[in-house]
This record gives sequence, C-alpha cells and structure tokens, in this order.
Amino acid sequence: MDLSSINRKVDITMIIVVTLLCIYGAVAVFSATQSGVRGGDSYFFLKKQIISFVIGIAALLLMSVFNYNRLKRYMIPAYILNIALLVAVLVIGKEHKGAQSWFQFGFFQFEPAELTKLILVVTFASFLASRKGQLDSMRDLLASLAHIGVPLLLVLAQPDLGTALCFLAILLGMMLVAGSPARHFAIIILAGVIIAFVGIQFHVLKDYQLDRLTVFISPDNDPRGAGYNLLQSKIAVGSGQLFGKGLFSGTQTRLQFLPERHTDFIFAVIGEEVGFFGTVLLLILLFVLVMRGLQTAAFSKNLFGTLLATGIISLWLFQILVNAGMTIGLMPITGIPLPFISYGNSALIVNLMGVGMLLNIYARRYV
Amino acid sequence: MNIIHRVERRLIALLVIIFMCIVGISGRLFFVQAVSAAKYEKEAERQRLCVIEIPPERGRILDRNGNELAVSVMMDTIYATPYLIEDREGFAKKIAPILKVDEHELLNKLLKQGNFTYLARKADSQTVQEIKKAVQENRIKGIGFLKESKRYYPNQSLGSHVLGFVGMDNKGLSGLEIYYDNVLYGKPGRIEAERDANGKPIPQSIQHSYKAVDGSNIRISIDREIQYESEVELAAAVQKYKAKSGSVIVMNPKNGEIYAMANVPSFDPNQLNTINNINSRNIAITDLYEPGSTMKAVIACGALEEGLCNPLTQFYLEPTIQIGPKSIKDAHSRPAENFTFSKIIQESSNVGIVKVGLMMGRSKIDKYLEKFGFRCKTGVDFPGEAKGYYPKVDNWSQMSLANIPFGQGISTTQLRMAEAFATIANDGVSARPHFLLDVTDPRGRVTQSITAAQEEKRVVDPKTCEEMKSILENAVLDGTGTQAKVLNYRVGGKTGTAQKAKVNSRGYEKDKYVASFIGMAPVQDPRLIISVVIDEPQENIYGGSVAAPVFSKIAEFTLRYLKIPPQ
Repeated sequence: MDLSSINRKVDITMIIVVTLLCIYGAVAVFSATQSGVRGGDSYFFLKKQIISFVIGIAALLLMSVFNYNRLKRYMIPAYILNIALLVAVLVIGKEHKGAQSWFQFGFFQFEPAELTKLILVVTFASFLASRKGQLDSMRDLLASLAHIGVPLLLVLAQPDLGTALCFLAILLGMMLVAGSPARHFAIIILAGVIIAFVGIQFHVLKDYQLDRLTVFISPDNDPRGAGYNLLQSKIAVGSGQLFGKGLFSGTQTRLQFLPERHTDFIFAVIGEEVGFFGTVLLLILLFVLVMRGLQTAAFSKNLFGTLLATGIISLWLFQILVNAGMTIGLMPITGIPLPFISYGNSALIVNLMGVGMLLNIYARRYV
Repeated sequence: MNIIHRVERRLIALLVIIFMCIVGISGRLFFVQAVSAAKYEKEAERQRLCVIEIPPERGRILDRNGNELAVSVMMDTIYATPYLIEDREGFAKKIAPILKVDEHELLNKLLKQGNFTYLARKADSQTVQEIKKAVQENRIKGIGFLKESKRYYPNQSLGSHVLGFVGMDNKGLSGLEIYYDNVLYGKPGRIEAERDANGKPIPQSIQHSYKAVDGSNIRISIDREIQYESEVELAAAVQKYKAKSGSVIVMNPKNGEIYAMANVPSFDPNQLNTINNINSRNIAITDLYEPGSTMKAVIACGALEEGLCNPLTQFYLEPTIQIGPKSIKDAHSRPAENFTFSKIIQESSNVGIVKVGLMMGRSKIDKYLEKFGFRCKTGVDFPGEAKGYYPKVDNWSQMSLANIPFGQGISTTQLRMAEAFATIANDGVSARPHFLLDVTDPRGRVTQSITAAQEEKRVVDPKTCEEMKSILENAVLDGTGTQAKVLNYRVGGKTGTAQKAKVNSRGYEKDKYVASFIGMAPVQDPRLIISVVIDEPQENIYGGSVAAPVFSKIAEFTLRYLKIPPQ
C-alpha cells in the first residue's frame, strides 16, 4: 500500500494534528501542575493524562473499525443509556465543588457528562437523519427540542451549566447543517432569552453561577470574588506577551495566582508560558482539527455521517470558543474544558472516541 | 431542493462560523498579549513581588552647640506571620493579655493579614521580654522581632514647638521635623522578593535588596540654655498673670539666627497622645496678633527717615484727639502739654503718634510698613508661617490712618514684629530669621551650611536707626518700659498693650489685652532681640509691667551666658 492509498483510507492530517494537540496538552498540564501538587508527585497529573491517552487511543481504534452506520440502529438504547447515566450520577455520583457529576472507580474518576455529549451527538444525528431533511414544521422543532431537552435538564440538575451549554451547541450546529429553517433558530434564541430572564428572576441559577456568567463584562467590580479568576487569567495571558515567559517558568502559574490551572484555565498557562505565538499555534492546530472534521462532514455521501461529524465539530468548536474566550474576557466563565488540552481523563477519552468516529466517517465517505 | 445541495450550503455557513470564532479569539489574544501586554506584565509583577521596607534611622536634631534635641533610638517591634501559626485562636488567647489588646481584635488581624501583621510597634522592653518568654515556653511559631528606630526627645518639652514631632512611621508631623523631613528621614531600603498567591515569600527568590540610607543630622540655631531660660521665665509670667498663652522669641539681629522660641501652653513630644491642636501650635510664627504700641517704633522710624522731624521736634498734644467718630486718648489721662517726638515714643502716647501719622500721610505710612515687610512672610524655615494683614492703602478709612500707627487694624506675627526691631538694631539692614545652621550626613560630612545671614536687605538709613535706638533706650530708662532694665547693660525697647479685636465682629473686646515688649541689648551694639507677648493677662494688662520684666530676666541671663561685655 502506497501513501496515497493510505491517505484515501485514513485522514493522516487529522491523526497528526490530534497527536500534536495531545502532546501540547500533556506538556501544558505537566507545567501547570508543578507547584502545589498533592503528595509531592509532580508527575501525578501527567501520568494520569498519559494513561487516559492510551485508553483513549484504544477507544479511538474501537470507534473507527466498525461501520458507523450501524450506530443508527442503536438510537433508542443509546438514548436510554444516556438518560440512565445522567440519572445515576445524580443518585450515586460524587459531589465536587457544588456539582454532583462524578463516578469514582478506584483510581479513576469518570465524568458521565463527557460521554453523554458524544452519545447525544449519535442519537440526535440518527434522529435527524431519519427525518431525511423534513424539518420544516413546528412539530419537527419540538421533537428536536425534546430530544435534547431531557438530558439537558438532567445535567442542569447536577448542576453543570457548561455541559448544558454544550448540548445547546450540538443542537444548534446539527440543526443548522440538517437544514432547519431560520425561523426555528429565531424561536430557540427567543426561548433562550425568556428562559434566561425567568432563570435570573426566580433564582433558578445559583448566585455563584450568575456571578461567573456576568463578571466577564466588568471583572474589576469584584477583583477578589467572582472576578478573581478572570482577572488572574487575563494577567497571566497578558503578561506572557508575544513570546511568553518560557515553558515551566510562568510566574503566575508557578506561584499559584492562576486558579484551576490544569483544567479550565490551561489556555492561560499556555498564554503565559509560550506567549502569543504559542496560543496562535494552538489555535491553528485546533482550527485544522475542526476544518478536517468539517471536510469529513462535507465529503460524506451519507447524511447520517455528515450530521455525526457536524455534531462532533460543533461540540469542539463551542468548547474551544468558550474556553479560550473566557481566559481572555471574551466569554463568561463556565467550567468547559479545552478539548485535548485541559486535564480531564473522561474528556480526553471521549474526545479521542470522537476522533475515531470522524476517521470512521472519513474512511467510509464514498459509501 | 436537493438535500445534498442544501447540506453543502449549510456546511459553508458552519465554515464561516468556525472562521469567525478563530479570528475573534486570535484578535482578542493579540489585544491582550501584544497591545495591552505591558499593563498585565506590570500587574503580574505587582502581585508577585512583595516589598519589605527597611526603615532608615532618622537624623538627629542638635542645638547650636551640638547638644541633642531629638535623637533616634532603636526599639523592638513585634510582628506575626499568621500563616506560620497553626492555632490562631490559641495564639490570640496567649498573646493578647501580654500585649494588653483585645483577643478578638487580635484574632481578626491574624485571620485577615496572612503574610505580615504588626503586634506591637516600638514596644517597651518589658513587653518584649514577656513575649520572648511566652514564645520560648509555649513554642509559639510565627512571631518575629525587628528593630525600628523611634524618635526620642531627651529634653522632653524643651523647644517642642520648634522641633515638632514625628508619627509612628518616623515621618515628621509638625515643626522642623516636618520642614526638614526629607533631610532627616533618609532613604528607606527595601528587599524585593517573590511570593505566591497565599502571600508566602519564596526564600530563594530574593531579587533585589537595597540598603537604607540613614537621615542626615541638622544643627539649628536654638541654644538649649537660652531656650530653657526663656521657657522658665515665660511660664512663670503666664502663670503669675493667669494668661491664656504667651510666647518669647530670642534672636540675633545681625544674622537672623533664632536662639530661643518658647510658647505656653506646651507639650512633651515623647507623648503623642497628649498633643493637641492648642498646645502644639508654635504661635510665635503661625498665629497673627495686633501688635499695639510696639508698632509705634516702626512708624517713628519712617517719620525720622523721611526727615519730617527729629527726636527733639515739639508736638502740642491735647488730652484727646478726634478722628472721625472716635476720640483717641492716651492710656493714662494727662493734661494738654508739649511732648518731644522722643517722648511720644517713650511715653507711648497714642495722641502723639496719631499726630505723627497725620503728618506723614497714608502713603508714607504704607511705604514703611511695606519696607519692613508687613505685607509678606519673613520666610523663616518653619512650616505654616502666617502672613500679616492690613488694608490696601487705597481702602484706608480715616480710622485706619489713625489706628495703624499705634498697632490697631493691622495684624502680624510675633516673629515679623521681632524682625522689624532686629532691622532697627542692625542699623537698618534686615536679616531673614532662620533656624537651620548646617546639615551633616550620616558619615559626618557637612552637606549644607548657612553661615552668613542670607538675603540682607537695607530698609532704613543707619542714622535713623541710631536715633531710634536712643529713643528706645530712653523708653526703658525713663518711659513705659522701665521694668525692662538690665543691671549693668544698656537696653532699649518698646512696650505694647493692645486691646484684642473681637473674633467674629467689628470692634474690640473690653477687657482682653495682649501685653508685649520687644527690646534689644546692648543698645550700643545690639546682639539680642527679645520679644515677649503675653495673651490675655489678668489683673495687670500693661506690656510695661507684664512683659517687660520677662524681657529683663531673659536678657540678663542671655547677655551673661553669651559673655557679652557690659556697657
């Protein structure tokens, strides 16, 4: 087999980009966890991230070998599994920072929310594909909303606002490509505004959530409270300047001024240590990743494949936008990790599964 | 419409969205990391650098002979590093009683300031001993000691109004302590170290360390002995006449050096909590008063300088003189008689000086007030000097023309008035009054020295001054100031008994007076100007009997102390 025939079967660019991203992320996580480590093992987080990567590669291979079209058949069981996971975590999950969102399996913590995002992409793609582009009526819209709405309410109950917003991104991205009419989007946006208003008025959102959502507009109002994270993040990124302070020598990271260094604010660590060129390099890698996903969606002769790919890249794009955006005051602060970069075992494994699916669709694009 | 075709169009829409997201983030990144990067860099530095300031030792203030008036002593300051304390409640319980502070307040301080908090600044040695004992016995962590310099005034209240005082941070708060603060304070040193988000300094990270530069010493013109004598005599007079306040200035007319400046009430600058607005004012410089008859000497000088009369010129004086609605009379009633010009001053005749004033006219009176500097400050090196006031010559009423010559309707400081007499004593040349003699840096090098009198300015002719001096001598020999006499020395001077102007309305208080005397000694070659002002004396109100004896005593002491030969 020569290279071009491999290239026809396998999206080499995607594999290279994903590998680079994972390395980039691992280095960043390692750097972010050099100070204030628990138990004194400075490799603790790096080791776990590498183990997750290995598991994730296995999951990736698993997701790429079978014909993805078979997934369509399992729509209903998958959807039920999804709901079951979300209910289970509410009942027996571990609480962390005010949200009930973890399963503890010995050494590993498993966050079902990450997996449910991918399952939701699969079930919603099956759902939309089965309608074959017939999405014009109000009934179609309500059915779509109901499909997403049930798991969305369940994650809100944890409460995990970040994941709920990811669900919305999946909904909008896939509806866009599936061909929903413009008025449906208008209705969703209007409904969103009304729900947000009601949510704020009747204190459905917890105060700290509301603070985090609104503080990015003027962080100086509350520099020690809700604005602290954002202010510290901007200081870290800004003080990195064009070329950064050097890997492993970011003062704001090292001296623990920056909060949530290895997870939510990993982008700020990169911004501080490798500067503008480092962050732009990262954005280029992420851009190539998303573009390859978009190409896969476009090349697929199969609506289910297109929608599946669209769901995955919508999810990633939204996470990139919100995560990178929040570190520089462009987006509200929500606990949304940066794909492939933020520390997070479940997230990395699930994202690699997503890559597996994209490779699967790419390989079968002429089917 | 073909589904595939529609999907393609939608994918292009998604492409546009992706593109916008990436461009948006990159743009914002460029703004944060390039355009306003410097701001964040500075912010980051500010956050992680903790600056520990090392206070310098404040320079000493010495009197003209090198005696210490204000010194710095090293004291122990006790501080805590709360994050090192394991049990802050227990710590507060043990330490609070020793420091004699509230336990809850202490605990609050420990909880709020994680990095560093003072427990007791410049504590007395007993407290320090007790804390050290408690630390050893209970193995308390997180307490530290550092040396801080504390201002100490070895002579307590001596010269306190001139010296002023400093606050807990060793910065001057009043008097010469504030005027020469930048010389005395020195330059603090500092250690800059990195710290983490919890405020812990990082030991290996010390980046810069600058040594403190101690403050310079200053030597001032005050003489400790003359100051002491002045304060004792002044206090005795104020007490004797139950006066509200009083001040004395002793200065050298030849170069403006101030030997002593005393005020009552007084304060001890070692006890900051006893200092208030009333007892800490150096009223001889910062407060205005109406000088009364001492002003007659200035007017007489003008009349002589203008050649309008000589000491023997005769004036016919009625018992009273009518100016506008007001009839002016002398302090002691007398029949109509002839006075020489000299006798008008000697006997301090109001009617007489009004006649002299009318003869001079407003513009010439104004000219000499201006020449003697009554419109401006003396420029003494002391904070808060007041500027005298009297109406512009165009606005003078007929009453002003009559009043100002005997010192009403014009306000000035005691220092300015003393300086006017010093000018007469110094043959018509004025020397700016001042305190500073020289500045010596911590290594003992003189960095600034005021030797000769600065900014000498001729005000009137020496001949005029000679005539004026003999008139003033006569006032002491055979006039209102006889109680100012000093055995074996020729002295001259002028008494003043001024009604006090009402504070918030027109006119004068009926029974409130300022008794004063300004004199020079020895008359043939004046080496001293001594001004005594007693505010609101009771029982006796006259400058000649309340203030002149104080002059006499201080002059007698000082002339001998300075070994000035008699006659």
